[in-house]
Order: sequence, then structure tokens, then C-alpha cells
Amino acid sequence: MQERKLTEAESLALITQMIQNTHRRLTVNAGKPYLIWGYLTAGVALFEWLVVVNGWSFYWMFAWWLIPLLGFPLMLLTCRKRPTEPKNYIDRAVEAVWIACSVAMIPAFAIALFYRVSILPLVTLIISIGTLVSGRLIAMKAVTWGGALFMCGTVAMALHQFSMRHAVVVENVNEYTLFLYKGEMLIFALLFICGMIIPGHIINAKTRKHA
Amino acid sequence: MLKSLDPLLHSELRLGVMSILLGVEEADFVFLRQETGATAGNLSVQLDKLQKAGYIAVEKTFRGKMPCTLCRITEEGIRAFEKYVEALRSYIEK
Repeated sequence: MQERKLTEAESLALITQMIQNTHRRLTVNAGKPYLIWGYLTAGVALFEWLVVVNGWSFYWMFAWWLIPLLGFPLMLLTCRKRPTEPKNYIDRAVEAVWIACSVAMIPAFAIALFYRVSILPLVTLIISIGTLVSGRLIAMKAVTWGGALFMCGTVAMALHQFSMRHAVVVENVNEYTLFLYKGEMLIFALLFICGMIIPGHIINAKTRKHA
Repeated sequence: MLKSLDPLLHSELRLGVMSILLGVEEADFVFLRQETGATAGNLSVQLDKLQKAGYIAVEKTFRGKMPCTLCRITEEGIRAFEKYVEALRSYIEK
């Protein structure tokens, strides 16, 4: 690019091209965070389902902690922008939404612990808000639909718990809890596959195509 | 009557820089050079012109031990850019 005078049409074309180039460059691999959290959460949820179904040791339940313990370092290692790459206003807004969602996991954990309810529907609800808002901000329909799916999933999980409590007659409390848990974990894993992994791949494919 | 085009913005490199800065919070010199493909010397001169006009703010800082020049568009720059686009439209629609 040089310091030369432009015609009016060239000027408009240049403005459009520069804005589009910058946007494309900044959105390459924007689906990576969705893939990291999606694969990690779906993988752990399916593993926990196997633990419950096969009656393995209760201590395997601590594997849930692998999600934040692996997820945050992986995000820092792979999704950090190079120092020379600028941030735009949408990046900052999306980041703020996910920080708020991450912090909201703390009261969700407290509610689950003190009221003795499953944390999975609460997590799904928080993720649905984060995904839906992010989808609207980055104008990616796949992500917005993913968020809507998470919201429907929250309702499905709530209905699942309600139906389990009222329809199944079980004598043993542990059996009841396990029965409830099994279906819930499968729904949870499925939601992360459809609401995060698939949209993540769609975003990456789209941004790579335009890059 | 046709609006006059801001001569400061009616140049390929300066307009390119302003278009980039419009979409980001701030950008460093290296990023601007990569995006525009301009030489460091030429880009530096054009940034200086935009800064003197009050269209961009330039901050010289350090990233670790490396010097770093950060540029961001100012309110005045946004207004000038909007006027420029408005004027362009009037030329194209005539």
C-alpha cells in the first residue's frame, strides 16, 4: 500500500476490503474455545456415565474436576492471541460474558452442594446464556442455535429430574440417585456435542474458507 | 453540491490504516505494517500525519523489553471518517 490518491470507488472498495481482512484475520480459529470445552466436557461426562453404569469406584467422580483443571490451561496455551494481534470490541464483550459465566459456576456449585440438587442443569443453564449471547455477538447462527439447544437441554434435564422423582419408585436412595444421574449425564454429553463441538467446527470451517 | 473529500484521508495508506483502526480497540505498528504491506518508514510518516491531525492517538510503550507503538482511532478520527464516507457516497450517487 502506498501514499497515492484514490478514485471514489477505489476508496470505498479499500475501506470494505480492509475492514473485512481485519475481521477475517481476527476470527481465524475462533471456534477453538468451543472445541476445547466441548470435547473436554463431553468426554468427561461420557466417562462419568461409564463409571456409573459399570459401578466403578465413587472416587472416579472426582474426574469432573478435570474439566476446569485441563480446560483453563489449554485455553491459555492455545487460544491466547499473539501480542501483536489487536483485540476488537466484540472480543472484549465475548470475553466478559465468559468470565461472568465462569464466575457464576461458583454459586451454582454452592446451590448444588447446599440444596443437594444436581449441578448439571445449573451448569447447562449458565452455558446456554454464554453460548447464546456469544453467538449473537459474533453473528454466528450455529453458536446461537447451540445456545438455544443448551437452554432446551436445561428444560429437558429439569423434566428428567422431575419425572424420575415422581414416576420411578425405588426403595434404595443410592439406586435412585444413580438412576437419575445416568440419563442426565448422557443428555449433558449430547448437549456439549451438539451445542459446542459442532458449532466450533462450523466456525473454524467458515473462517478458514474466508481467510 | 458535492461535499469535498478530506485530503488527509483520501490517500491509500492513510485510509487503509483508518479503516483497520475503526474495527479494533488499538493496533500495534507491526500489525498495521502486516495488514497494509507498507514499509516501516512510509507507515511511520503517515501515522505521524494522522496523529498531528488528531485522527489517531499514538502511544509508545514497551512489551517486555521490546519497544511497541500502539495506535488507536480518536473521536475526531471517527467523525472525520464518517464525513469522508458520507462525501464518497455523494460522489458515487451523483
